[in-house]
Amino acid sequence: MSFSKTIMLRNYDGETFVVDEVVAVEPQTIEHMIEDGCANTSIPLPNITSKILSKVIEHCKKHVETPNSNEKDAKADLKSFDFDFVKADQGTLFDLILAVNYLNIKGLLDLIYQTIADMIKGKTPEEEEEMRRVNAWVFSCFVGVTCLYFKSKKI
Amino acid sequence: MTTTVDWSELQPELIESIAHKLKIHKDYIHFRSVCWNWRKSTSKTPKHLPCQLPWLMFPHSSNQNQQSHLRLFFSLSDDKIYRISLPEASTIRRRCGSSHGWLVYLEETPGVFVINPLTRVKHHLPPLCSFPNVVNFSVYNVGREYTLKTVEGDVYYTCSLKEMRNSFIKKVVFSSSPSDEDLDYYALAIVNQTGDLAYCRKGGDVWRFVDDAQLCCEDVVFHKGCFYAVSKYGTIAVCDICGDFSNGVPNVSFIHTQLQVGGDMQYLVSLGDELLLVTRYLELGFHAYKTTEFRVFKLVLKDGWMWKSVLELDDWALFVGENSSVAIRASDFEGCKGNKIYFTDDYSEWNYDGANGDHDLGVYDLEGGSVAALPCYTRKFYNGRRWPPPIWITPSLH
Repeated sequence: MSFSKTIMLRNYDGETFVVDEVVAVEPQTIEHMIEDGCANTSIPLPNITSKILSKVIEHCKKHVETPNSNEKDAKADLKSFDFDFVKADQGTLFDLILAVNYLNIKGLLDLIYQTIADMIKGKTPEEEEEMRRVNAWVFSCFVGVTCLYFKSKKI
Repeated sequence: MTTTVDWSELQPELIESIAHKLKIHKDYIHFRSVCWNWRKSTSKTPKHLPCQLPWLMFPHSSNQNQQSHLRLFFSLSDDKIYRISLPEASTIRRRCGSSHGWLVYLEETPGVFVINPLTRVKHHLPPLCSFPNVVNFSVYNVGREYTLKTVEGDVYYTCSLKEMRNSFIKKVVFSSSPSDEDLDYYALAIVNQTGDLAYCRKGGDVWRFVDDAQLCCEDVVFHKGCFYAVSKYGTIAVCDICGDFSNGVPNVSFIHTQLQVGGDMQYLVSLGDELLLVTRYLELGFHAYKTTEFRVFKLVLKDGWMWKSVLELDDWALFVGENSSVAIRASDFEGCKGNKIYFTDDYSEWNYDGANGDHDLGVYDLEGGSVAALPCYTRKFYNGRRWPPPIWITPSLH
């Protein structure tokens, strides 16, 4: 039986999450806080909601628990987990990117960047227009110039 | 999709990091047109994009009367034709290179210029009269404007403006994008008549010959920091031109392999750390020719250097022709299939006007050994050869 040290994370809603230290140090921000001795009682994360923090912890846990091997099954399992993990609504993704950026979890950050980039990829101008309309983005006048570069004619 | 999220509020460094995950130009341009904040946070000229899937630049079409400044570019991934205004690419000029998204043009003056069709940025390379074997240029000697000397230096001969434009340079290849903003770039030209290799660097005034490399003039590619040139029989000259060399002479070393016999044209392709030799076989008929086969080899060191036969390219597709050869990972781009060679007409032996039939271009399947037509070449759209032949160009925003 082994005892692993636990760390307490206290978030925006005042909730506390108890996690194993090995999971808690996945976010570099927390790792540095512990090293700097700021983690006596609990680590404050005032700008992260419970929903987002529990998602982040879930991701860190999964990646810590999965053995770091080149084994095909382990890799496929992680890939599948990541794939399902980012199947979230835009609101969650937005909050996630801010939280993960603050927490500085490189792997998860990369995953979210790629997810958002994939949302832009391959959109037709009509689909983009729809997204813009729904999200009320500010439409830049430079778009006219970029459209000129790609004035296309289908044959 | 319901959301109350304002994505335009994202921090600049996050926006930039997301943009870095995009691999395709069009996606990057769309990304930058989302909103003002996203546009501000991303660079206008993305340097991180990998080499894009080449477009096919068409010859001038037959009804070019009113719109002769428009050139057509076919995109394999979109299955679309883009019309771009490019008056610089008129018929009085001759194109002699397509490298890193830039086209090299010669005209009936000594000038040599490069232009990026997408950005229309243009600048000059040293003129033809700055080649070491050009001893004199005078516009008053009509029809014999250029005076050149042979390699030995003992015989002088003359060339007209047109002759120099048409046949002096075979191909120009760059070490990196010849854009002004970037670091140093080097250009290497294959001189047709003598088989010399000549180079110049960014901002240079003259072309200089690479000594001792005359035989290796079939094709040139920039690979692992040096220019690699190949002879008809597979010998490689490695020209270390970039950087400083103490006595003013670039270092040239040779890689001697087993004799590569057979085939009508050789191409060199840089594929990551590996150097490929692509041999093209033509079927020559009466006033017509067409490609029937390609064979691919890779340079390996095993009891000496040798060209080892490559039977499949897996996910890679090669683009060869008058352009600087390019290897593309097919799964990164729609419309591109792996294990294929996309080729254009490149047979310079024949005066172009004298050849019949259609352009010699298509897609070669390494697995089946067959040639298929390119998707844009339907009977309806195009017939017969036209000057200049089509060429691959990798679209680039810088």
